[in-house]
Amino acid sequence: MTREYELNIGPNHPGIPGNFSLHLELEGDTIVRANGDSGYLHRAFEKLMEHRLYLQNLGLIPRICVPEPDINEAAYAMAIEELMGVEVPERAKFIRTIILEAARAESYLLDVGGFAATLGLYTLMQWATGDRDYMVDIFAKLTGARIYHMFIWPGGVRRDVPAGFEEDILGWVNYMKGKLSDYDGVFFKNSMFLHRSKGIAVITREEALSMGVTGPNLKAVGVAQDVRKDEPYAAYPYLEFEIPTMTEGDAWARTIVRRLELEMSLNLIEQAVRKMPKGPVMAKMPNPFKWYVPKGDAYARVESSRGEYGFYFVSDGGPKPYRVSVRGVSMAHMYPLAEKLLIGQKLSDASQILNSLGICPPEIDR
Amino acid sequence: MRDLGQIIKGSVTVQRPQRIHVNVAATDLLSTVHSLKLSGFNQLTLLTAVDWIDEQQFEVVYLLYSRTEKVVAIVKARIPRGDPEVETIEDLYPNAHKYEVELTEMFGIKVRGNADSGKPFLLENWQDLPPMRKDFDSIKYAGEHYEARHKEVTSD
Repeated sequence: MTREYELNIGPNHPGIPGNFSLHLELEGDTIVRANGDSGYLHRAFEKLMEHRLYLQNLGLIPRICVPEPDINEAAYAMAIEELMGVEVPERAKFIRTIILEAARAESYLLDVGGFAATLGLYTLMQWATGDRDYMVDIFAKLTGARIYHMFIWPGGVRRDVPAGFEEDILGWVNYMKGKLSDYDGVFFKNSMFLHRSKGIAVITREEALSMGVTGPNLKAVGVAQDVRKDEPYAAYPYLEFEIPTMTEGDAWARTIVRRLELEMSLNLIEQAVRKMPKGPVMAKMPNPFKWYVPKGDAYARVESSRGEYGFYFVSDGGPKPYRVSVRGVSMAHMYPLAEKLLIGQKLSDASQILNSLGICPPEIDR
Repeated sequence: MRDLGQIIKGSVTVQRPQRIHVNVAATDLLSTVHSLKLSGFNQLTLLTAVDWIDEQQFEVVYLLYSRTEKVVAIVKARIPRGDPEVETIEDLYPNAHKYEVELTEMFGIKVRGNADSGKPFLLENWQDLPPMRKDFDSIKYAGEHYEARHKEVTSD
């Protein structure tokens, strides 16, 4: 006779960035049922934004998802620009692209480092966290802040890049490119990683397409969907890149897609720095304390390191947003996808499955 | 994309390339979402609501994406604010399930056909008005439920 029992993992960090809990029902060490339990990081961002001026919200939104804050600024700015009919200067578009790609690379470094750590391979986590920190220093020089930059403003970017920025960031890109073969050797070709990820938590193409899955999780089933290609924003129309895809749909394929995307981000930064034109970085905007965004609604979307991220924005013509709704990517990846994928898996794989999906709890809770 | 005007009963406007805004009556909401799904809008991107308190209405908003046309359809329908209810779309889009649970929790809009509508999702033991409603006073709530922050002592 088998006996089922219940187990809670979390809410302290079940292998993913942020507090989140999993309620599992197990038979032996096989998961029979899995229920996500969100709410530990609900900070009412959407409500808070209704009470703050457009400018004040700039300080709030990067905090929605910590590993990659800049996507929030970009989507927020793009929604406001659409409603106000503002055209962003060319140079600002390139600076935005460099920031977004650098933030994406940082986020992938945390992702693969975290994934390696859930398998007990701490070397990569230490390396990735350390290498990410070099970019964090460059961000501090560029924006004055290490993590929450608040640099992408409606209308452009806050300031032009400081002297020596191009050399700094190209130096980091070169350094990172050199490190990738080390990463491959220690992790991506490591047989332990292959054993623990191949054939684990396979998403089918049909599931992915019907459940609103985007980003690396969708690319891992062979669908080359990417907002940067499908609805090019910032400087992406001027850059050359191919969306990497895999067909297996398992934890391995998802991680390899992230590895390929990391390399692509480095290439994109390089291209954007070399092609960046001269000129102003901010469009003519009214006094930021008196922004009145015209009445209407808009949905702005960007490609984050986890998939399609967007802001649905409603303005009633006043000085504060009437309603902002955030499309957190992980919502579709956790509910019901991850809950379904966990069934039949081993308890020891639960954390790494969530990690392989790139789930970021703060953007579910908001 | 050209035939959308024929299959949808409400108004269809194009605000900019790759976006269409579809306004329908609440009674036509489900059939509109269904027809859009059949014409290729097979990704549910976002499901949310807007509280138009001055007009005593809620507006439910469904964002549907067509991968082939690369267009986001913003489907909107107004429902009366008193005793609001919508039909579930989880049979069409499985990821709608949690969004609908959130809709009930945050706005108090009941979702017919969703077994979990009304169950807690992000909030715990919530007794007050649904918090995303415009008449929910968050400052008053915070004053009643949390201690005032101690005045910060600095040695500057």
